[in-house]
Amino acid sequence: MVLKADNVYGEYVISPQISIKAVNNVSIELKKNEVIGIAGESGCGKSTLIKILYGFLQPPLTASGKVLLNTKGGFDLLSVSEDYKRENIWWKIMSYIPQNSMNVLNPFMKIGDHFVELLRKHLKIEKDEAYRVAEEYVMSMGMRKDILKAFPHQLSGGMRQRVVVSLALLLKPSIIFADEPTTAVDVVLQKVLLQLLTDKQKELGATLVVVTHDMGVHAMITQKVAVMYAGKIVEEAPTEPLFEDPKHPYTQTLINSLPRLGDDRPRIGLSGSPPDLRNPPPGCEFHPRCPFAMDICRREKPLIAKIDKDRYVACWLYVKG
Amino acid sequence: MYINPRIRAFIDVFKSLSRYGRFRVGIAIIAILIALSLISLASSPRYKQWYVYPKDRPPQLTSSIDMILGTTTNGRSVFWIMVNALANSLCIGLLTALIGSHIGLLIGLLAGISRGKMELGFILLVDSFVVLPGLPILIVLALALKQSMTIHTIPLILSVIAWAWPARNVRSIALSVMSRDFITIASFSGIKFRSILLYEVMPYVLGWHLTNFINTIIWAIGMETALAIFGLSILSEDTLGTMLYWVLNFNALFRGLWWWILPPIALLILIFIGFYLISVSVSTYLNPRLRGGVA
Amino acid sequence: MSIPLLKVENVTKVFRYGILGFKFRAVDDVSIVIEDKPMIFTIAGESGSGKTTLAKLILKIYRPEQGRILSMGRDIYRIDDNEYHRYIQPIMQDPYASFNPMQKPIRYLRETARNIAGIRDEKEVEERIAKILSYVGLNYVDVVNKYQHEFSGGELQRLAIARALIPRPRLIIADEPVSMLDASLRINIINLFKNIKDDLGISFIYITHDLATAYYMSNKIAIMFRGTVVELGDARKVLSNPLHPYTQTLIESLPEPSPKKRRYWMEKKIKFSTYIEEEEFVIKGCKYVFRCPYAIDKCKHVLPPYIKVDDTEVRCWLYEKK
Repeated sequence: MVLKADNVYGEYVISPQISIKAVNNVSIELKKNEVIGIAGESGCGKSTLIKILYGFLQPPLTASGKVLLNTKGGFDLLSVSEDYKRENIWWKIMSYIPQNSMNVLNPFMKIGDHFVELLRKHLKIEKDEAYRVAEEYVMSMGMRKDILKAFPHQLSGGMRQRVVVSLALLLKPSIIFADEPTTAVDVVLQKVLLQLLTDKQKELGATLVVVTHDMGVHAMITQKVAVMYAGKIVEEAPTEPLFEDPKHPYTQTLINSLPRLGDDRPRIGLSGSPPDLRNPPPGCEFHPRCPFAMDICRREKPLIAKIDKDRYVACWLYVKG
Repeated sequence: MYINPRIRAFIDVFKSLSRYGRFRVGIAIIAILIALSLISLASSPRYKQWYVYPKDRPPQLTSSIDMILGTTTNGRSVFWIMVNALANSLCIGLLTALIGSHIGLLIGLLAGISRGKMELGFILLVDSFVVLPGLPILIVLALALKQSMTIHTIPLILSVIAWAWPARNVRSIALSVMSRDFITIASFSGIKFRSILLYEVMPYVLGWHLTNFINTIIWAIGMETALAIFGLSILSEDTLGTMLYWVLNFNALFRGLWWWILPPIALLILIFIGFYLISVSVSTYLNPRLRGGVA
Repeated sequence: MSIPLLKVENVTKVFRYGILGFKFRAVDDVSIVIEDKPMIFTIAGESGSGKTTLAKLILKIYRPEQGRILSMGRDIYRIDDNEYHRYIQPIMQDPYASFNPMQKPIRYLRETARNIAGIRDEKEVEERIAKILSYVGLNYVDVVNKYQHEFSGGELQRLAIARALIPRPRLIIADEPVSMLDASLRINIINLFKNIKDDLGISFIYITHDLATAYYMSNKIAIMFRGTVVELGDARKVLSNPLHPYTQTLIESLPEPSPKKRRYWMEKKIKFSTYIEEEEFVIKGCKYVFRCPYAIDKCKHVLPPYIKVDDTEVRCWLYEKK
């Protein structure tokens, strides 16, 4: 076990009356050397969950619960100071690749300076040596070394994405969070980036957490998937069983609605729209759109049922008794 | 009670704006200033005459109601001068804004919607005026037109310079709105160009126009004051600027006639602060609303 | 041989950007024919392929520098706007950008009904709108008084589709109509398009980068790369058996929601390429030459013509008939 989140809640407090309950009682465990996907559509809370797991809480985001990091004897990420995280955890033990990360680079700094700054801060080496290390690293990631002399705006979006991914992997972290790492790039570059991430993950024996709404990406690179809806994890399973035999009605509809190459059988999607997280419905959040909704679904939040060795579903259909 | 929907919309906007502290302060200040300037309507024509009171009295702070702020070196009541000056300055500001910012609106819209050679022509026109240094040009104009300048024509002269920046502003808003997808949809809905301008583009432009209008008021009052201090305004009329001219001219500072110096300065500061607060609140109000969110 | 619904003839569109006015051809000598029968014609490509520019050229938003576009045999610039709008209607990518946030969306449906469909009677306008709204899955009473921000993305897109249907056009151009919607809602809109084609006989030009939905719904497909059409033919055929190296790479890179295909996807490694995008736009020959594993010298200098292989047209020297 590398990271464990217990009963985590995350809220965006907009005003004293309005708060968006983006993450609503989530518990998840990350193991060493695995690729885990967090799936869900817009507004399900997956990006917020990642920020909380990373310990990155910027107002108006507030979080409660425990996020236990199992290094140096395990401590709660939510209770340590941001300075501590910046000095010891971020980039070194855990890395975070944000959404639209191609815009995250400092426009006034050359690419080389980004690398050198990180290296010098955490490895305490001289500028020249840091630059050489950066050159070698960048070439090993398949980019030309003269990219270090360029400014971010001189590179294409795809190139910048590659730079950000490389920066995240530079200090060989044990946990890598990637939030929609490939949404803004074209399909071919997407494959290149995903290959890069998974190759490095294997090489470092690290844990890679991929957050995306693209189920195809989950099918291709993850070993385990957690599906989120309205701030909760509704189903968690190893990838192949999840796609072959989804249990939760939401997952079923989602997976069955995706068109595939070579298959033109008619498909149907979900009706309605996701709930307003300022005012979520009572009981199971999915019940207004669920084809199997029962009376109890409208009244009480479902318990988590263990279906198999590694499979969990939060649905009354599977709770015995 | 039936209220005309347009007026109701206006009242609603006012109510929303009043939620901003800045707006409330700004409106309060301007309300006080307008009230003060309205007092000028009660001034007797005698206030312009020198030495209404005994001739040999030195300029001083007095206790009579008529001279509550004392007298100038020419024995006139500072109080009555002040309220008239305030009224005149505000009128100049308002008239310049009415003329100048609306010229800017018109030309800005034309520049934004025309294409090809017409567009280049308008851009040339607007940009030529934008780069003109305002104060020096106005000084030259004032010198040249000194004979025919009256308190009523000053707004026209100021408008020559005032229209350029609003035009540029309006043009860029119009351009950016015209490039949005919903204009294509409007066009494919068969809406004629004139209607697109009025109902699709104008709502966005009007917000900016309001801000421009208020800013032009401030700018115009400032410019007239600057010209007056140089002695280039209408010295026979009272404006906050001409008051300052005479203050400087008669060495009021050296003579310690603080009751004559402070009122125009204080009023100018209040005018700028009041209108600025209103302008800023209006801009803030416009922004989240443009995103189509809840006001 | 009937007159085609739409014929794009050797159309080129040139843009310039940057301070030095770097010129590039967003659409380079593209020709496409859409026959006069109900069909869904997909134009697929990634960002920078020119597909959106081509859509805007057909919608008369941009004017081509070379070539012409014919609708039912007539040059579109000789057809007056009102008539053209009865014939072709657009659906935009961003449902929130399709309607003016300052107005109620119903306004545009009413205007379309009055101006394009030419309905004079007010009651008839509302009836027609109500009928079409229910066809796309919306309720007239839920729509009529709301402002744009009161609708969800999916609902707005349905409104946009309803508006486009009011004048019963022959052709609807949909530019990435589902890419901004949630995955579980996409298939509903795609199915709606198919129903519109079957029930009302309206053809679609569907512009997308998502080949899976393209396979699901299209009859014909054109693959674009850097402004040129590299492959054109029956959709199922092209996507099952791609001929052009770019189409092949595209299909291989597609992450499919089928874990069983994972091994195949992982094995095919893509070479890192260190090309510069601007260079690709100005190549005299085939634009794919820097990335193509089969490139020969000829590819760089001479643009291949459209070569017919069975019913598919490929722009690649690999298929040159000796």
